[in-house]
Amino acid sequence: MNRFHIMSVVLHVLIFVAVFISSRAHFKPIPQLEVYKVSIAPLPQPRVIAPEEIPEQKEEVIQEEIQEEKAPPKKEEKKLEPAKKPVEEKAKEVVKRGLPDIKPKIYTGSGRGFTYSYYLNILLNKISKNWHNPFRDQNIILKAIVYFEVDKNGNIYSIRIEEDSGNNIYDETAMRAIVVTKSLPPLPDEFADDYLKVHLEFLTAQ
Amino acid sequence: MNIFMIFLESSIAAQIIMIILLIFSVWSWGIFLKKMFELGGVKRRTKRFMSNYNFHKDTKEWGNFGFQLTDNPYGRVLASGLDEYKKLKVKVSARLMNQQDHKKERGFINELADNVRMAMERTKIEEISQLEKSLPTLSTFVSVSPFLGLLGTVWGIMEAFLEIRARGSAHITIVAPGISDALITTVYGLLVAIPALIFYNMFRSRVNGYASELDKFINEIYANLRKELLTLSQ
Repeated sequence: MNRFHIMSVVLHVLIFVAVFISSRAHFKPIPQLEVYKVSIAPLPQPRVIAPEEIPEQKEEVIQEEIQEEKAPPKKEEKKLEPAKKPVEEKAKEVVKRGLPDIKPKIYTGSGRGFTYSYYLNILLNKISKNWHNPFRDQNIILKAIVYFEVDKNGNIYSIRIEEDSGNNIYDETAMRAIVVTKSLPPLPDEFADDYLKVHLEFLTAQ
Repeated sequence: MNIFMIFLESSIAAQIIMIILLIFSVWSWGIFLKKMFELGGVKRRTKRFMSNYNFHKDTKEWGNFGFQLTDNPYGRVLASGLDEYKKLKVKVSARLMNQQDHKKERGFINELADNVRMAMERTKIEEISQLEKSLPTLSTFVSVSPFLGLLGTVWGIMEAFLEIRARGSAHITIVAPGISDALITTVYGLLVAIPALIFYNMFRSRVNGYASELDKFINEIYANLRKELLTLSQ
């Protein structure tokens, strides 16, 4: 190492010191801010109806499930009609309690339970974002059920109105909410079936 | 966050690359300072020699330049030419002593005069290679430094992706260290290569300038010494 390399080392040290000092001069400490701890409220869970509450209706739902696997959809509509009034009353109560106005009934392809609540949260969240309820602030009670299927990749298909509300505009908005959503996250890997059947209730009540 | 923190928080691979680049940088700046000093001295001494030479165009006075014949490339080239000329002069004088018709010896003298040119050419090559010393090293730094920086970049990006794979998440806290390593080594590589490239081109053009100037000088000296040798045959 000759004197020129020593000079070069000195030059580098000087440059480093200059850069170090200038970076310290420009450094401003981050002010100490107060930290507020917040806990995010969980997304609405699918409503579970206790058997003591409405024993008759639960049986109906089970029947509906079995019928869906075998019978054509037209017959289902006929069977659902008598249960319409009590459901509307219930919907009114639900909204009064402050619960969400979209709730799913989930069936798997094989008829087994779907226990992935986080997935249902995502499903409800996405669809409710896309639903623009035209009767939100009006004193009208409406209920529509939209049926659709979700495949393994989260693609939505077979969308149809399963139970109409009697108001075409309302049914259209409910259907549109699903159509616009297009796709959901892929179904959980642990979920064994190829697709998921969803019967989504759209309720409006003041 | 300062440069030392960036260095300390980098991965081992990035640290090794940065240390190598630092060594390259120190080395290339050392070469720069050395060559500046050398070429500055050569320029100063050459200027002094050339002013002296321009006032003394007579070949007989050239031998009296003293130390100026040894302290610069032009002087050394002239000295080698003069040495060869003196040897030839003795040889030609001896031959002419034995010959009655001196004009017949002109062809022989012309052939021998080429030895003067060759002696000066030899010295010129030695001088140029002396001036070019360390330039190949500088050239190596110019070409290797960006590649080393690039290696650090690729390594950093690779580490970032490996982290994503290992943790199953592409969160910024996982990706950022690898990417910052990647970018910092490229910056260092360029910081070494750009000055080294400037120094290399600067010195290369100066050495090329000296080479062409020396060629011109050799031609001039050769023409004068050849004329002197030929006058012996008259």
